[in-house]
Amino acid sequence: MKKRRLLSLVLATALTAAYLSGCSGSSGTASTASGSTASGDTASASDEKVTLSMMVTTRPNTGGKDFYLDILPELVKEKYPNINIEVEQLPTDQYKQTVRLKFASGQGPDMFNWWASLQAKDLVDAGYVKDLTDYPALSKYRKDIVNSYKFNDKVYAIPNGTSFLTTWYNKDAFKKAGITQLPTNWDEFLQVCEKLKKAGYTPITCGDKQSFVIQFGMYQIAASEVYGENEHFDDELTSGKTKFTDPVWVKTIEKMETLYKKGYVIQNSLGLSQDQSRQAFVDGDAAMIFDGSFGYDALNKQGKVSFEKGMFCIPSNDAGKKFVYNLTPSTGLFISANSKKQDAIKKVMDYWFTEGTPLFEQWMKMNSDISCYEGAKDSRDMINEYLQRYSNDVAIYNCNNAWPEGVSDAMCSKFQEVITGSATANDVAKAMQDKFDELNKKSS
Amino acid sequence: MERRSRRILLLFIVPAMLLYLTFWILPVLMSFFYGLTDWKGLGSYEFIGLKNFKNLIRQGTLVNSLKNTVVYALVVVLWGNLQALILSLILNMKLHARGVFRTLVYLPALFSTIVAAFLWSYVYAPYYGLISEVLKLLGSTWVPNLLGTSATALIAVAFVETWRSSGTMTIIYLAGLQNIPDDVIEAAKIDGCTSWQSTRLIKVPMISNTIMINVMLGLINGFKSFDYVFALTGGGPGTSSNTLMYSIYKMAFMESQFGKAEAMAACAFVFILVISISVLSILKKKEIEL
Repeated sequence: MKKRRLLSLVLATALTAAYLSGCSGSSGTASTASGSTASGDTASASDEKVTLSMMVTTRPNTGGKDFYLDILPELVKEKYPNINIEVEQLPTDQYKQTVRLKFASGQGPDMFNWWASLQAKDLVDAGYVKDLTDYPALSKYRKDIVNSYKFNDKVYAIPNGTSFLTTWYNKDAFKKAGITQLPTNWDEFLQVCEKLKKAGYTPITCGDKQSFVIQFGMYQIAASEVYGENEHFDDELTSGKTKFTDPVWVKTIEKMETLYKKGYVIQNSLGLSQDQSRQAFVDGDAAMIFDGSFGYDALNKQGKVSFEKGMFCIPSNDAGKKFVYNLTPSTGLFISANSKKQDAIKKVMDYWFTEGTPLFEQWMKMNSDISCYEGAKDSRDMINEYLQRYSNDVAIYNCNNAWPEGVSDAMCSKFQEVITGSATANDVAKAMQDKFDELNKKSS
Repeated sequence: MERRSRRILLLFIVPAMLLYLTFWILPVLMSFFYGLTDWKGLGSYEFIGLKNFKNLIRQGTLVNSLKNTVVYALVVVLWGNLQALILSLILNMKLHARGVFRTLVYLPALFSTIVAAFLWSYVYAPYYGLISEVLKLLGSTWVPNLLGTSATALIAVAFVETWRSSGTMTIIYLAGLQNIPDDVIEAAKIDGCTSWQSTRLIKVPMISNTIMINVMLGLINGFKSFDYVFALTGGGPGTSSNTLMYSIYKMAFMESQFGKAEAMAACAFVFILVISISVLSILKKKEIEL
């Protein structure tokens, strides 16, 4: 008995000791880790190795090399053999949360892509991102786009460029349906849909099962309908002067609803994912799809039949009224304010954003966004032609840039109910306003 | 001496208790606390009392998610068990190639959630989907849109869950059925029991323990339903397939309303606790009676 007690005591002591040594072991590793970071700091000045972390949203698979995943680390390594760039990619939803959580736990990435305006506000307010106002290359970018990263007169990002929401259409189907001219107002747009329907085409395909897709059509309609009359609608939304329940937004939602009611949108769209819907367009099963410039690669794939494609922004304006189209800052490159590797970051940025360097040239060539750098020309003719066509019109950013996160989601899921027939445009507007009030109060 | 040794032994529980308290109890308590704040996942927060709970009730989110979760769990428990029981009774018969059938029935359990959801999204798809194509072959012009219709979306998702868990449940039932002694069945036969009577009056009551295990497993799966909803409908159309866990995820990770999500999680915790305790006590009573 005594022996057994002794044995258990010895065992227990050994276990506790092992546990404690485990603790000290881990703290030992921690101190080495911090030691290596410390040496990393000085390394950026000398030639010792530095690893920079970079985060981007998941890249579309094109089969070739990707700028962020391949070219950037390779070219930087070539120029500065001591600087290593580790790139991590995540799908948008997880990305937003992961970056926020990483910063909250003090391990934010050294460099990362993030969205403009209100979507970046919490990171700026928390002091996580570096003020880049004095970065010389910034003056070469389109001013209005740079300003969308401005908070309290300080700029916090280098813009990657712009993108736009648009309606892709099948030119061959339009010809066969006898449509010779692109619509210039809402009535003409409805006539186009009617002609397509009569010619036996499904006019529009939408992958509404993934509710975020609803934004692609809604924001195009909102561009002329909401901002045609009042460009400052969003500013006034924050002050309470305008509301989502105002006639302009209700009318926007009603116009979108009309497309479903009249049978212009593919049947059972709520059972279709974005990919399935894109496939329906590429295969020639539907004549139009609400998408964006970002869908360029996916929508130019070869489908069942080949046909010529074009783009136009839904003219939701009434005849004779002002037309506004969608053009929005896509993302910008933000730098962690608390990173201890600022020297290395600066080296990479100078290499990246200096005209004429191999990295800059590659970036201009491979950027999937439309560059807003002075004198830069996009390599995609369709996009250049599109922007040229609308160059005299007023452009508005994505509506949700001015909304707290959650409002667009409320809009999309309520609109799904409109599609099923269990809610009205007024219900959607009210759901948006309620969500806005709930979230806005908290941010103020 | 006895007391002293007990005290020493108690001391050895301390490290484990500390770990348990720090990594399990404390986070749970902290999560209840965050439910009373307007924390957004970043930066500072304010104490706002019961406002999150009020909002959850006023906006109908809580009631809707609770209702959906209960419907989901009921489908998973009732249909899941019925399906597995029937399958196991068939597979327990003396069939040719019984092993092959048993393997086939277990096959769905080998798929990961995301693969199962992906497969079924194509089974349900209104265009080129399995169901719609089969109906077309049979000459029907009706195209079912099970995931895109408010009335059917939730049940269609729950069905996928039962499809995947059917293999595991069937195996558990089979094990139960094989534990019934042959002489009991034989005696029943001699007494003139038909096979339906022996199933209803002998086999099913004798595997009541197994039924309890499967009901509990089904309930647990039903109440924590998240993955299939996430992968198949994203809670839609509208909010018709928003379950408790999915609503919590959406609030926290898509709308950055961590405080509100914690409040919802607290409600879910209490709700699941009450249901689990009551189901357990009901089933325990039944088990003794039988």
